[in-house]
Amino acid sequence: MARQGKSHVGFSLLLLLAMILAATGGFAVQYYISKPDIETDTDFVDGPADQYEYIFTRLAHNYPNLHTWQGHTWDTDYPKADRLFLQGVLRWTNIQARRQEQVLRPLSPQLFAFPFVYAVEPGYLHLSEEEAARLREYLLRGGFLVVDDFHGTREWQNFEAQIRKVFPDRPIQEVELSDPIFHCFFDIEQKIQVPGLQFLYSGHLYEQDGFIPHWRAIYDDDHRIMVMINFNMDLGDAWEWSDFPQYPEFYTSYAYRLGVNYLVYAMTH
Amino acid sequence: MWEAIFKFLFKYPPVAYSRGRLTLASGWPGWALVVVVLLAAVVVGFYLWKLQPRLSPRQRLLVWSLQSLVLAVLLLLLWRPSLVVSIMVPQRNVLAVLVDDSASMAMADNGSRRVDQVRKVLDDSGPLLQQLRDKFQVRLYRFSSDVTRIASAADLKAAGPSSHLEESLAEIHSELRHLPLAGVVVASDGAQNGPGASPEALEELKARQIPIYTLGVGREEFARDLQIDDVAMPSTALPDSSVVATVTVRQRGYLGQSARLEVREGANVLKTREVRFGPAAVQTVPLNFIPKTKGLREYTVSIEPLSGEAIPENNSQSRLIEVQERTAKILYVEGEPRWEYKFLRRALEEDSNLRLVSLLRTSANKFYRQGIENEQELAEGLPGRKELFKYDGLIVGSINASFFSPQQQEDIYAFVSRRGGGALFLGGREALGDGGYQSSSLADLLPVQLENPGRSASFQRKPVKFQLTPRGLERLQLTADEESNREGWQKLPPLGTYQILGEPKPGAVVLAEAVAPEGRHYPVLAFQRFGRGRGMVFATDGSWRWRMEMDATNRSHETFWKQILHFLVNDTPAPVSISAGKTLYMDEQRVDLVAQVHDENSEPVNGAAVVATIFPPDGTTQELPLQPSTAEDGIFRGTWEAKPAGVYRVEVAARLGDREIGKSASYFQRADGLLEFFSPEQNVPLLTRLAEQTGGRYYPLEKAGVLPEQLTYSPAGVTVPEVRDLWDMPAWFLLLFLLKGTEWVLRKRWRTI
Repeated sequence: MARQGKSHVGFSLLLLLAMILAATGGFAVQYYISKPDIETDTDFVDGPADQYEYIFTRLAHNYPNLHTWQGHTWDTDYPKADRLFLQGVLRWTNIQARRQEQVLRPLSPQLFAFPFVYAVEPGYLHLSEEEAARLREYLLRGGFLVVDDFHGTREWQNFEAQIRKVFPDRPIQEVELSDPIFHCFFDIEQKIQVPGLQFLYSGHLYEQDGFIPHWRAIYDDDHRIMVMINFNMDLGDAWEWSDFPQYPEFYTSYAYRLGVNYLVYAMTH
Repeated sequence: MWEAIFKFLFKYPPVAYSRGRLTLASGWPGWALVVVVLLAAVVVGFYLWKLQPRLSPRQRLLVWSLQSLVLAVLLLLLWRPSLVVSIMVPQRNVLAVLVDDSASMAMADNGSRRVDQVRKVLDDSGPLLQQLRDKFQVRLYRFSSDVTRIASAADLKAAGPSSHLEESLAEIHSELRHLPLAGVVVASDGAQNGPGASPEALEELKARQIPIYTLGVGREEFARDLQIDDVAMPSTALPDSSVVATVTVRQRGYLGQSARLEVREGANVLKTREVRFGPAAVQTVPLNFIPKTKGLREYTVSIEPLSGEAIPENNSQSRLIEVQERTAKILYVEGEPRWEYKFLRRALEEDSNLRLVSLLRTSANKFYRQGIENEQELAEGLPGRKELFKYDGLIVGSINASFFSPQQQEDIYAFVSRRGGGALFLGGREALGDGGYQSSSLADLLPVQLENPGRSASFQRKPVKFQLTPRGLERLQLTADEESNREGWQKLPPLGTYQILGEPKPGAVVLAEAVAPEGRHYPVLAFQRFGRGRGMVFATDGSWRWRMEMDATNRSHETFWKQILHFLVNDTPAPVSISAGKTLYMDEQRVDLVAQVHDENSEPVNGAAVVATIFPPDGTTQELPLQPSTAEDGIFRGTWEAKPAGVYRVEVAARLGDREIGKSASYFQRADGLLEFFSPEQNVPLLTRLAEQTGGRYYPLEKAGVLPEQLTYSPAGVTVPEVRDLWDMPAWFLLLFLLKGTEWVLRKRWRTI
């Protein structure tokens, strides 16, 4: 019995140790990833970013109200979604793109060298005034921001509050199907809600109360899109799980088409 | 001075000898004189050798020579040497005296106005006119832009708008051609600024041996003066284009000093530049500026007057530029989506005068068109020649030369050389040397040599500094102020890429270089003229970093691209165009009009009916059919007398049968009373040339007193021959004295007397 009790204590200790290790490791990984600026060119087998015309750039934004081990959401689907999407870019277009992404914080001095950035889960986006000012300057100079994978009223409210720090007065407008962004590479003739992986077990295309997908945008003074907002859809999951047999190819293809069009639009407008 | 000595020694002035004929008037034969002279020499020789044994042979030879010469001179005088000259018959000949009455004659030299100096010399009661009137029927004329007869020099006003010297001479000759015209006297500063007379008129004066005597008035040069000699500017420009005015500045007496050169539109100063004067009298200064308003505008280039300047009126000149409200079309063919493409398009977004139509290859089989006017535009890809020629400029991006078929390459070649369009080649991984352009016919259009094929890639993804050359600084400007403009270029972030090019071709102009971190310089922005058009290269695709790495409010990137592309298309001609020989005719009325007529394939059309319609400033309308040039294809010319001063609009319409080929319009300006202040120094070379061409002479006004005697020997008019003895010339006696004196001195030294 005592022996059995000892073994239970030992197992418990081992489990605790494992949990501590896991938590520490997880935190370490989180910490590491939340410091993307320390990524160096040697981390990329395809070589440094300045040898390519296009680099898929993921915006590493923080959301301090989450728990410590959940200090950010920017790395959702990272890096698989990015890399699979890039394979599509290389396959369909003649853009000289690197097969690996680049992660940058809003305040990174390198931000202006990458005129296209992708931000995921902006429902948990939090921008400091300095970051908002930097993003505003970036967009006014000609940078292009795509936000993706956020759903429902609550997440929209957060996103809207944050993007208002960037552009307090510019309207957020619905993007019509006639807009060049839907035709600059692929002709996209209908708007389809692209579900996340949860669709496989929930059977729902939507998440939370985000029943209707919206393609919204903030335009500049010459009616060019600066911020492309994919609301109530999850292109990132569709890219990430494009190799997953259960995820419908229909949505993956549609998400790829959208992504490539966004990129071609960003490089032509 | 030497003329007075000549006349003292030889009794008559040089002109008498040049116009007269020498003869022996005794009636005895000339051979007899030779025989007697030889005989005398023999007798003297015999005497010296036989009767003068004390002299050495050398001394005898010298004495023999001297004595023989004395005898020869004396014998010559017995034969009565004479000069036969033609002498004017008093009051039978006409003498025309022309006096310059243009505004430059009102200029004061040494405290006295030029016209007053002439009035004093040609005063009715003065000695000169009295002496001339004793011999000739003197007709006094004033001339400036026209010629009129006046009663006396007191009628001179010195207010004429210009001096048409040669034209006036031709007119006088025409008026007096049936009268015995003995000569023409011209009193002028020689500041001729009208059209030259026909060569035939002066040739006739020369053939009739009517001498023109010119009296130069005014200072030959000013101690201190600045002058704008010329301003060369394009006659048209697109709004917001950088216009380069090439200003020729002349200075005298300001070595080492500097003055401010400026260009104004009305009262607005558009650009200033400091000019420093070196030892050269003339220097050419480029001054670039951006016209502020649209329409026909007058731009004035001035140089600030410095202290002690003789004529401040010649410190400025004006020119017209039509800032056209038109839209030039540029076709941009790009081989891959890239940031340079995006930011180039954005840079031109707000420029309503440039329409960038682009054909972007987004994948092997997909093209994306932007800036098209209708669904048909570029629907078939790169347009054929006829459609291509509707564009003003062409940009070739990162796309392999093999993308263009041989026919398309030929079309692009003709687009530049014949159509007169501008072609800009950008750098890129599939561009220039890396795109195989060195082995295509398009290489001819490039202002630089391309690296040889087979070498490693010439396109480099490395940051390089963009540095304008002095020629680049003359053409491109970020701001009007010279210093802040220089700083603006310095502050530009590095280009992200560059492409290694070979040497610039002869005639190419390198506007900017890429300075690599190791310090090597590569041409990055250059152009050359090619046929009727221009070829340019911008060997990078990294200028977009200027946009992304500078404040959103900084417009350097946009300004750069606008200026580059305006430069590319500004001079692209319309199929039918018309221009006057000058944009400003100062004190000239004869205007030469030239029309160029090409069809839609830019082939010159010689059989067209070309009519110019002229709208003078007085509100009238005149039509002038232009005649085809026999020497140049597609060129039609005409001449027009533009009388009132002001701005003239000229429209041209070309038709071939019932079909209209095209229309065009341009402007020129006529102004009076301006040129008098430019180069108002006495033009001695012109006055001398005029006089010497006709057998006359040039004299400064203060030596006008020699004219009566000079004119006495004029070969023209009604004359009688007169034989004038020369035996009593002082020169003979001086010669005899010298000969005998020399002999005496020698004999004294030899102690033989």
